[in-house]
Amino acid sequence: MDLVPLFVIVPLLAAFLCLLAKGVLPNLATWITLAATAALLALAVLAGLPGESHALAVGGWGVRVEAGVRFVAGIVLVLDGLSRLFLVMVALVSAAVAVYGVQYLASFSGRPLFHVLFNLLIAGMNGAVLAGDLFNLFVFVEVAGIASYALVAFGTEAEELEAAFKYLVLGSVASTAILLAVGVVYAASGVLNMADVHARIAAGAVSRPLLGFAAALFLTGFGLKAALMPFHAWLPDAHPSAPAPISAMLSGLLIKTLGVYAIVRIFGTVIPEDGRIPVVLLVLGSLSMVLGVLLALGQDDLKRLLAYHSISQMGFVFVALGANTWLGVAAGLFHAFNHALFKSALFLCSGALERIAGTRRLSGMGGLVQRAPATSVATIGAALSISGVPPFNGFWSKLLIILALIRAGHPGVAVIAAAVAVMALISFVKVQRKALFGPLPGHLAAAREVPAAMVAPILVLVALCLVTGLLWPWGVDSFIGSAAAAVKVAADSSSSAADYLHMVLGR
Amino acid sequence: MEPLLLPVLIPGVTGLLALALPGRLRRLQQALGLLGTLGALVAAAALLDVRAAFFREWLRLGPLNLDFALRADGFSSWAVAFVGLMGFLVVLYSVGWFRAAERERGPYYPCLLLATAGAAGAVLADNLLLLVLFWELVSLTLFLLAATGRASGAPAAAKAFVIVGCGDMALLLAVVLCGVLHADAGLERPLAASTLAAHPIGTGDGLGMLVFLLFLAAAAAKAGAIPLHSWIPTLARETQPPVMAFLPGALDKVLGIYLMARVSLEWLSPSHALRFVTMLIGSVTILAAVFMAMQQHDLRRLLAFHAVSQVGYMLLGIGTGSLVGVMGGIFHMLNNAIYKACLFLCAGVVEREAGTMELDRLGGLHRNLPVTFGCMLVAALSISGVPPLNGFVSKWMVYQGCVVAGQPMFLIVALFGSVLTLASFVKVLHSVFWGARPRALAAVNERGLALRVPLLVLAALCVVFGVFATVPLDQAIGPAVGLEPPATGAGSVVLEGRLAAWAAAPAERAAPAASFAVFQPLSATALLALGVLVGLLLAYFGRMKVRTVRSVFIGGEPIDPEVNRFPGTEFYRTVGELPGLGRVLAQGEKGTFDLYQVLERLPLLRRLHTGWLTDYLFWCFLGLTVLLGVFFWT
Repeated sequence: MDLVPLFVIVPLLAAFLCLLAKGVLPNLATWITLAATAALLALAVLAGLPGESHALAVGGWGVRVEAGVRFVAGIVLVLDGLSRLFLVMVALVSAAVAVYGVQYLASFSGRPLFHVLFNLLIAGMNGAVLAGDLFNLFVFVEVAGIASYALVAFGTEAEELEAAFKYLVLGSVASTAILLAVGVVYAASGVLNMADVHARIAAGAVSRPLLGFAAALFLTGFGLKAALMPFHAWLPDAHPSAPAPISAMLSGLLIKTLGVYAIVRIFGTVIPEDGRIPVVLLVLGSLSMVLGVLLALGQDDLKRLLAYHSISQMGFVFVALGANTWLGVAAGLFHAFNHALFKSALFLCSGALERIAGTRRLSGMGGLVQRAPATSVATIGAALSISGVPPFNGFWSKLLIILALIRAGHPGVAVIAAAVAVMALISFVKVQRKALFGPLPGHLAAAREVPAAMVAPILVLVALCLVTGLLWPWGVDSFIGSAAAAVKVAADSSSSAADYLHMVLGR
Repeated sequence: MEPLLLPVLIPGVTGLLALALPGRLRRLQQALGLLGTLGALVAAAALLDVRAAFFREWLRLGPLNLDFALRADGFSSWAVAFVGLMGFLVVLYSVGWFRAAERERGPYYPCLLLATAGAAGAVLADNLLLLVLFWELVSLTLFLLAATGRASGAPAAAKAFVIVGCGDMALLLAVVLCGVLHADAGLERPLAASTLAAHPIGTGDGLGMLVFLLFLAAAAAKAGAIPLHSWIPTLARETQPPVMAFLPGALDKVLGIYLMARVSLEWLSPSHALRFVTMLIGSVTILAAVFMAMQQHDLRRLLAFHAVSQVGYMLLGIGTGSLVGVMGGIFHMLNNAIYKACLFLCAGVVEREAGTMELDRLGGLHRNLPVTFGCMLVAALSISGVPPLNGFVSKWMVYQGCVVAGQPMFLIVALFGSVLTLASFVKVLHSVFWGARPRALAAVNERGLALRVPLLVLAALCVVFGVFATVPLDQAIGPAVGLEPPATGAGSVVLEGRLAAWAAAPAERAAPAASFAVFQPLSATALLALGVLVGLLLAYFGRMKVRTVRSVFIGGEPIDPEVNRFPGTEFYRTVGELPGLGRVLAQGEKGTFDLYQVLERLPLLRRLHTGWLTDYLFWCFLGLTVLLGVFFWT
């Protein structure tokens, strides 16, 4: 039996069950979510990691041949190296977040609804990553998006509602742009399946201005989802306002599955090579990198600081993709994967620190390493990862990004990336200095470590950062490499869309 | 077990072991620290005459190779031994230095061990990316030591990590650029040091120049040359003295100058202009830092500014590009690590026993702390370049290098800097050990063998490396620049080396032959000793009164000597009152030239983020419009 649909079915079913459990046993929802994320993790290990790349025609509506033209009649789910990477990422982070959430959410009311939305979020992300056609991609992006709007507002305080409203409006703009782009492509080519669309465009079915129009809309829509400058403005409000586990999901996963994945898929597989896209990605990526980190430098609110760093780190991912080589794509995807690990760990840490110190402001913290050693170790580890200090994973992906940029003939961007990496280091050293080290202020004398059930998942994520950094020559590299090979042929960096077409459409 | 791995593995493994142990087991931590560094020292000492390589293929990053490759050659074999020695001495000192009032906090011994392992690995590494990894390990341990050591150390630790991190990033960028340049040229294993040595990158074009400048920035940040020096004085006040002696005092200098020497001699071929830049940075560092040092009232900050100033001599020597200058620069790195570590450790004893580092509150301690005084005297004379101590020999060689390179300006700067250094240390010795002793310090005395042995060893090294300078020059510094030591009985390599350089650079022959006046350390010492002896005899037989003590009266009342104390902090106040220079120095003290502080004041873009949804929507549509424009018009 093909396990691939379970990646969507399990969280959807869990969401439904959580809703049913709401009236019966409020705590049941927590266990359902834990079981669902555990099942997803097992699925990712069983089916995700070793799975053959293949396309699954849902309901048996496979490839048809009419008038000598092969096309896909129904919905397909496609598992290839790229989607596998994102499935594993989602499974790892959401499992850690689910465990963390048990303790964190204990004092929240309306927990079953939280779990419904949480599971829908996972279902949307997994579905978007597996979708084989443009419209399903849009649908799943919307599922995840709507769940996330509601989750940002979950605290229902003024700040949360304002942030959620902004996020909702800008997210709708993104969805409109995406839907319009899908419509344009569909109108011009008459098909929605990604492989079909590629074949039609390659055959010249879509005129160049129309294709450019669609490309600009796709970039705007998914750029908004990925918080690429200048489409980033919702993120610094939305990510800090959500409860910490959701911040971790949004910053760690959502901007990647809805943003990076979609952009890589659309411009790597669906739309044939276009020399303008890498340039646009390089420019916008550099802009995000530099401005994001400059904005982060001045922040005092820990979660806001982390949110601005997400923009900056996504800039790294996009400049690497803009290098437009196999190495660049691999470096970018690796950085996206690493960022998922350490940024979700950092957001979970921020939640724990907020619990410990009673504030999110760095100026209100200090000396916490004495009172909360485990959380502090986790924070230091995650901060060293994002600052790119060896042997943590962030070092390797930043090294690869710089290498890929120099190799692709953009030494200037590489220098910018290195400078931004230094500024990220400055910012995170500041976080450690202000929150963890130094003298313990009087009002924190009674501060206590958070329960082990909250620290343990963070420590696991940080350990994963370390393990990814240490072990990446042994296994991680081929995992990332095969993800990049779904976009670029490793040997000569030409597009590997032909393999995708072959996989979906057959001979 | 491969012998080359041992100097890295032994401290590395013991360090990780110590990290896993709880910090409460203090004695066990200390024992592990001593064992690990002693093991590293012994393993490295066994390598002294070994010329060997260890190679294990590790991984490929696109075109680059990251191999686990170590090599012991004429440079790295003694450098790693020196790292081991410093590690052992500092751990030994730490065992004696910490006590109930201030215990080791945080992962102290693990960090010392890992720093030893990192420095050993960095000098042994035969692959540039491997070098980067070990290099960053040292930076990380420095940060952790400073951040966890004292509660007030966090801001200084952050500053140090940021500046050193800038250097690390520059190094990474330079290494990747080197690798890509070589890979594009079709070379196998583009990052093996041997590949780089066989195909040095020219610095004629912009890219080569960028690579050199990035390497220079990395070395300057690590070693602490202006303008990337400011973390050392800041750190000095907030870190325990053994940490200061170990990392900024010794290992960071070794690493930075080791890198600079390798870059200038082997991996790149720096043009005249770039060598001039190096020398310029060197001489600016010498002068500016020594002026700052003269103004300090805190012993630790004063020593820290001297630690910066001395880096200038090393850069100046290496920048000359002449054999004698380069050898002098490298030798000065070695000597500086010895006397600077000794000075920091002596200062640590003073801090531990007297409880203060403020020069106005110290004085007259030479009877209370005799061993410390003796060692500090030797080290201070050595850093001031007084013959026959080691600092003189290496400075002398740097001076000669300036002459050979035809740069009289730099020679004058170097000489002037040396004079000011001496002046500054006269102030130190006066304020701490001579002059009237404040009453509060009457009960001060020195305790513990573990504290004194490292001081004595380092001070002895200062003397030995000065009097028998030809031994390290022949056995270590010569091999470092590619002159293997002569068979026993043959003439000194130093002389031959100079002549070889002379022959190799005909353009430099115009330099006056007098500049090659060979310094014979042994006979010079004999002459100096004779002179001192004659002086003493004259004093003795001439019944000269060396010192008379008279009581001072005002209105018939004897004055309390405490009131009449003349602390050394007043010595060079006039320098700070000079019209132009004084203002510059005052600004320097305020941190105007501190890049880190300048960076912290960066104007930010927060105003743009108004929080208005309409503004944000406007940006999105602006972005869409620009994108549409791009896709329609190109």
